[in-house]
Amino acid sequence: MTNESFENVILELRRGVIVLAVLSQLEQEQYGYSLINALKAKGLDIDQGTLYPLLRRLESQGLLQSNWRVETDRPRRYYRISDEGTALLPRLKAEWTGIVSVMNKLLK
Amino acid sequence: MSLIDTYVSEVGRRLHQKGRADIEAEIRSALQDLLDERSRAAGKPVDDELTLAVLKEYGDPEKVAACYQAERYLIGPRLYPTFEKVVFAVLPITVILALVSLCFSLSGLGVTADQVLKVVIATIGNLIFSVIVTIGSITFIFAILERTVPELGTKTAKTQEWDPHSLLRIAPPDSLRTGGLVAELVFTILALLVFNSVPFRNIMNLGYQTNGGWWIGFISNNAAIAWSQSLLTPAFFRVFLTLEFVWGLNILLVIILLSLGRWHTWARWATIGVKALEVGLAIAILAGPTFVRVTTASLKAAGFPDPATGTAMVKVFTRSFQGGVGVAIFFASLEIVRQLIRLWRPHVPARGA
Repeated sequence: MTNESFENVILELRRGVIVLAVLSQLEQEQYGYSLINALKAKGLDIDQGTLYPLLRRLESQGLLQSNWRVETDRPRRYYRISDEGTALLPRLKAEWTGIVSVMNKLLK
Repeated sequence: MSLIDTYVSEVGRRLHQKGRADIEAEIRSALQDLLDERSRAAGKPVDDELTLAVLKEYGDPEKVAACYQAERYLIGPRLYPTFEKVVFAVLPITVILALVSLCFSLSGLGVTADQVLKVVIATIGNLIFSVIVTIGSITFIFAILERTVPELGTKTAKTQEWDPHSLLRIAPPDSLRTGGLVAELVFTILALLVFNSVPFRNIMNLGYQTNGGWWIGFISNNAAIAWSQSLLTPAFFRVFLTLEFVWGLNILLVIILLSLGRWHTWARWATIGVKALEVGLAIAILAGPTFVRVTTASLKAAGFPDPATGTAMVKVFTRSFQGGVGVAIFFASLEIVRQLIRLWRPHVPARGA
């Protein structure tokens, strides 16, 4: 497998995970850059080019809500999980736990 | 304008107008956050060098803009299979209409070689134009559907659940395509009737009309024709007689097949045999001394005015005739290949009944 193919597989693997990771961290309001740092601090590196479009997509799906606020001297867009997202999150977590359990059995 | 402004504007100009300002503001804010952090880490104020490093890290404006766009298609994957079906259904009709129009244009008596050439060239030109316009129009309609009825494909996918009963409509490998066989039967009988409805040697003639001008026609006993000569040699008629016999065999085979209602191995081999004979005879027609040699000099020697036109018409006729025989060879060969595949892989089901 070429390096490029490997990278593509990794990207595919991470794509679904990132949605759950982002939703899980937005129970408290965050702006993009602070969210990147929060995820990074917990070991998940995500680049800006991936995160910002994803935040917009999740917002258009009604899972997040956002608002612009000016803090210090700069406007920032703050994101927070919506009621719909909050209702969905436990089901996504349960699904994730199931996937991990199955995968652990498969990869043993 | 600062480097950040230029960068943001480079991303923005690649975005759809809807939401552009919002995305630009967010990218600007993210870049400034990143710049602040890098400045703190480097222990120096923001300068061009630092800004360029941050912009490089953020990425090529084209790629950044692409991240905000859903994949864009002229015709998306949901509608494409339908688009393909429509194109493949309409294009043959366009070609057939062009051929019919050519036949009508050529059927008029008294056309000169120049006129024949003009008609053929015009038909080819019109055909190319029609094909382009047809494909373009279908593409245009589907592109509009893709944009105006975005839920069309989704709705189709949701409402038209796959029904396993559709498997029953896939024909078993030995079932007959009755329509195709009936069409073959009708056309073969028609060909035999047409070719035998005139004196055998008058199948194709070059004639000179009483009012002047050359003529190429199917039947020579036309009052307006002062002189005529068969364009086909006795050698051709010998081969053609054998071909008619093979057509007779084919008719017999098709009738037996229709009465049996399904393919049998012997019928496939018989079809291969008949088609191989057809191909062989057609090749013999192409390779053999099929056409009477008509030259400008021979027509001039016979005392006809404007012999060049007569020769040019003969040239157009022989080319068309050879083209027709070539098409017949192609389709007969295709049938041979199809039957061989069926004999080789008898258990693979065929689509359609």
